[in-house]
Order: sequence, then structure tokens, then C-alpha cells
Amino acid sequence: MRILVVEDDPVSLKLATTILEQEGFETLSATSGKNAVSILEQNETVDIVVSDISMPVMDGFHLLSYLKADPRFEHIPVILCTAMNDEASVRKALTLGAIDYIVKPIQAATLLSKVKKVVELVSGAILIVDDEVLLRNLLGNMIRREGLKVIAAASAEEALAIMDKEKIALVLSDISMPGMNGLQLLAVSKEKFPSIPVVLITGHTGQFSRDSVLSAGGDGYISKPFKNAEIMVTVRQFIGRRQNPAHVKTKQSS
Amino acid sequence: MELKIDLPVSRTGGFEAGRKMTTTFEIDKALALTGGDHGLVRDLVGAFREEYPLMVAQLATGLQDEDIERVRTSARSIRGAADTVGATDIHTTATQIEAEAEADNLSSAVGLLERLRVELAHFDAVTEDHFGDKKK
Repeated sequence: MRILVVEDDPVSLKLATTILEQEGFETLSATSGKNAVSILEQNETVDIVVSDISMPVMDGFHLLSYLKADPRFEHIPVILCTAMNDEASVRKALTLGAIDYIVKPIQAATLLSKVKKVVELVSGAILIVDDEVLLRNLLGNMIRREGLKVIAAASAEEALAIMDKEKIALVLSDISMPGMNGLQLLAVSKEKFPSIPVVLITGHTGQFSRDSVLSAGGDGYISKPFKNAEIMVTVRQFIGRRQNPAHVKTKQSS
Repeated sequence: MELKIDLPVSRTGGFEAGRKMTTTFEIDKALALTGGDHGLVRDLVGAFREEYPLMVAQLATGLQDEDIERVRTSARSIRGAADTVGATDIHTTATQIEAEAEADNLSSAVGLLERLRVELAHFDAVTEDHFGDKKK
């Protein structure tokens, strides 16, 4: 998840980027609205913009208006930061399309809480597919602890039914399952939901190799036994990146 | 916790000769903003000390050129940065300068600039004492 922080005050900029990076977010920095537009125009993938309002050259309101008027950027949620805790500024920010606002000085806890709320809103759920209930629960609890939404399915058939109805950011599926296996789920998923990344998990490394998963169109491959950190690195790599096909096609090395 | 230090006049560039000045670094406020991360406060203070000379230079140029917008924006930058590092006195003075600029009262802002410089010198001394860092 990549966040563009726009702030002309270097100290506040450092505070915001450091706090976000400590939480595992990738950050880009811009010192004005104009600078932010330039970064976006260079085709950088940005999932969330956190911008100050009062800046020279192009202020936060102008940046917000610019983004919301451009079909390439209108989907990017914008959180505006203001030292002006007046109702008019807040109303203007929300009317122009800001998803939320922060009153300065930026506090680490507030910034993280607001950003995580937006992440939850913009990201779909992580769909875990495994016929073993213990593994479903283990993976589900691990990912929920990161503040992300999880939906569990006990079979590939159930997973596909869920994908028809729910907003899914990533599928994490076991390969060996009764009925449709993970590779069959991958094939149907790529046909019906090509923008949703699918990562397959298996302990049967002899039967299903990493190459067979990737050549079948899988976006990643994780071998059992896996480490918690390995799962979360993979999840973070994919959530919120669905708008940019280049990221969806990133292969997971394992 | 408030950290205060008495500073000899020589460290203030001779401003208000014969008088010892004090300034305040509210580290608790800075710690609250960073979620209690002392290392990050140290980094932010370092960034502020690195950046404020340029901000003050821009403020001084704005006053010299009677450029109200430049005075206002540079004072606002100092105010915002000072607030983040718990430099309460500096934040207050920068806020006053911004208000004087908005009121088209630049002569008052000139006097406040001198006070700001003294407070910044004190802030350097207090934070240097606390963190053991010399300004680069």
C-alpha cells in the first residue's frame, strides 16, 4: 500500500512518512500540490493521498479538486490535514471529495487510525480458501490482527460464489482440496475476475511446483510450513494495488 | 516535562544585552505526537534545526521586501514545524508574526523576528543539551 504525503513543512512531512513507514506502508513525499501532481503524472501508483491544505503554489483544496476531476486519479482517496479546525474548511474538504480530514499538528495515533480506516474502505476482503478449518482460522486471525477484512471459504466452489458477491482484494488459497483444487480455482478466477490476484499455498511441493502455479497465472506461491511474516508480506504486496495491472502481475518469489 | 535552560547572552547574538533568556522545549508534547517515540522526536528536532535557517531567511527576505504573502507563508511553516517538535515559544512567536502579516502590520513582525531568532538559538541549546547533538 503506497501513500503519497503532501506537506510543505519538512518536519511534519518527516513525522508523517516515518510513522506510516513504521507501520509497513510505502510512502512518497511531495512538498506542494504541484509536486504531487507531477509524481502522479509520472505514473507512480498511489493508493492514498494525505495532504496538507495550506501550501504555496497549489494548496490541498486545489490538489483535491484536480485529482477528483481527472479519471486517472479520481479513485484515489484523499485525507486532508488542516490547522484550521473550523467547520467551513472541513465542510469544503468533504464537499470537494476528501474521504476524511486530520487536524494538525499530526498525531501518530490519529494519522494511523484514519489511514487504516481508509485502507479498510478501499481494499476488499482477503478471501482465504482452505478445506482445513484450523488453517483457515490461523490465516484469518493473522490477517485480521493487521486490521484487514477476512472472508473464509471451505472450498473453491464456495470461494467462487463469494467472489460473485463480495469485493475481494486477494485470494489466498490452498491447492489440495476436495472438489475443485486451487489450480482449478485459479483458472476460473482468472477468467471471471482477472483483476483479483490469487496466491496459492501448498505443502505438496512435489506435486505442484512454484513454476506450475506461476505459469498457470498465479500471482504468488507460498509453501507450507509458512511463517506469519511471509503471509503478511504477501498480503501487503497485493492489497490496494488492483488498479494497476503491473502490480497485479508481480510474481511472488518464495 | 519541560526542559529549560539559562543561556548566556553570548549565545543569543547579543540580543537584549545583560539579560538571561529562557526558552521551552515541551518534549512531552512532541512525544505525544509521535506515540512516545523518543528516537523519532530526536530526528524531528534534528530536521527542524536543519530546516529553520532557510525558513527564517525567507521570513527576513519577506520582511525586507515587504512581501506580506512571503512573510505569512514562511511564518506559517515555522509555526507548523515548531508545533510538531514541542517548541512552544517559537510556535507562539511565529503565530504572532503570521497574524501581524495578515493584518498588514509588518513593523511589528520585524520586532518579533528578533525574538524568534533568540528563541531558536535557545531551542538549539536546550535540545543539544537534551540529545547531546551538535548542530551540523
